[in-house]
Amino acid sequence: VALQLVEPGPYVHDADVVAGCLRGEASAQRHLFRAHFRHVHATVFRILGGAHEAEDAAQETFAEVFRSLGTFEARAKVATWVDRIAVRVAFRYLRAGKRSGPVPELVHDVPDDAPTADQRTHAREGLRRLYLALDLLPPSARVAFVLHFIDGRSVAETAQLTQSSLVATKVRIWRARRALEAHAASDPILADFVCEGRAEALP
Amino acid sequence: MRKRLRSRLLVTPPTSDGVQERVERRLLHGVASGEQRAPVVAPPPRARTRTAFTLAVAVAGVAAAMAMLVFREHRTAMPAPVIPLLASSTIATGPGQGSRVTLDQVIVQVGADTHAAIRREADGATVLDLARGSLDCDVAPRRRAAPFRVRSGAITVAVLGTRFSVWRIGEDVRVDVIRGRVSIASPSTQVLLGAGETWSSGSGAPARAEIEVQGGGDQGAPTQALPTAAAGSPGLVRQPIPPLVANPRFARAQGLEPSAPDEAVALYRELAAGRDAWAALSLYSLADLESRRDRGAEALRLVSLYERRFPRGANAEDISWLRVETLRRAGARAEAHAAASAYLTRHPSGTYAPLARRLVAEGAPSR
Repeated sequence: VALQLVEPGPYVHDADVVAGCLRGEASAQRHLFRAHFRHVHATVFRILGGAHEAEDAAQETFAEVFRSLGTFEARAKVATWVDRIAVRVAFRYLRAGKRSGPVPELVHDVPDDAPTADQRTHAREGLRRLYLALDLLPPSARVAFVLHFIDGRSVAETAQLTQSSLVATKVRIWRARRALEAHAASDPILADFVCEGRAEALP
Repeated sequence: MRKRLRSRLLVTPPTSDGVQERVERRLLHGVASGEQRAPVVAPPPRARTRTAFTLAVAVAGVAAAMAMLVFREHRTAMPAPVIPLLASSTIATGPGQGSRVTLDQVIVQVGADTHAAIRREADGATVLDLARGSLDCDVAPRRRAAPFRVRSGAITVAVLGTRFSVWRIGEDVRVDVIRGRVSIASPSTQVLLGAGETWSSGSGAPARAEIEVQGGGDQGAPTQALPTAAAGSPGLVRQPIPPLVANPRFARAQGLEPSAPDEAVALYRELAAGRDAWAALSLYSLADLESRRDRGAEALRLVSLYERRFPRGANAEDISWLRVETLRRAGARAEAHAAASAYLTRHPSGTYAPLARRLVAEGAPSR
């Protein structure tokens, strides 16, 4: 079990943290950062597929969060607001092409308890091919697909985060899914990783 | 028949305490030093008076003008975040990694597989001691600031205001000048380089040469009069500098991999014919692509070629592991085990070490 040291502070509610940040309290900034960093990093990593880009994008997300705290509306949840900024930053990265392509850092994604080196290598290759296939999608479809299928968000939440309508989000996810299934039909390693069946061979 | 996608795809991000600490340090330090706008943002004003609006427009105008001035100064800088460093630090990047740091008003792009120590000398100069790899330094005009030097072995690069790169592979040192002018002095030669020129010590050069590079100030004028080298001087190569940040042809080859692998191979081959870092990366990518296309013999040939041509290349570790993977794909298990052992000997704490150990532990097959 990983223990994380969370600095104690008087920040029980979101509004307290935001108010503390607006007053320039370093402890409030740290509290906000530490409370949301892992989640943000995970989301942007899944969208972008590279550890370096994810780190930069996560940093940019928090820089933007801190910059625009003054516009935060108290009735919203900080987590949702931060998520929305993270998705926006990742989307910008995709559109600007700020990525170095499929990257070997994905080797870390496979759990250490994978049964054999063979399966581990196979799964790593599957992941690499998944992101190669995602690279061929339009950014909007990729973001919607990743948020729903990989980050585990509901369609409604995906629509909210991408600030799109429910119907448009469903269409994007469906198109991305069809494209990926078409890739998997001609790529057995990708199919092993993303399709139903033969899942027992993978960690 | 087309298979259906799983309802959830598992991609576990490599989030760790180390990553969190690193970003937190960069972010909050940036906020404190004013590199990123301070997070203290006053709530939006409710009273929309003409005076407030005019004031806001004026402030925004001044801020935009200041931002333009700053960006003009550093428009060659890359978009990656800048990490401020303190003296007495060490810069180290692994294979395939890179970083960007600021040090004493100098923006340093650190190449892959680089190790450099930072120290402060008696005259107040900040010195980057490059043990291996490459540093791309963008130095603002120093004026009254303390001297800035890059040292590689006994080679010292003293800078006043320029942009240049220093590469060190083994004992060979290369200097590329992007902006301003630099002077290079060694026991055997003394040359003055301008923007767009490259100097390399060459494989036959003495390992402990003394090289001094001085920036050209604002307009690139040298601060000391030094004789300009003749075009035919040893070590002076007048040639365009290869891009240090992005290579569109390499990016194109990468993009072609899934849809047109043969074209990607052809492009990689062209790029790999060079002698720069992109050639090394292209050769590695080519070997990797051939291995994935189940062209084991060709992949192994390329792996050997990489190891011979770029023994300390940024992907030296990856290529060692690629040999293992290629042999395994080809069904040569005994050879793969031997290659994994060789990998572990060379990279005991490498990225692929856990996999290699597991493979070695499985043992060679009895048949």
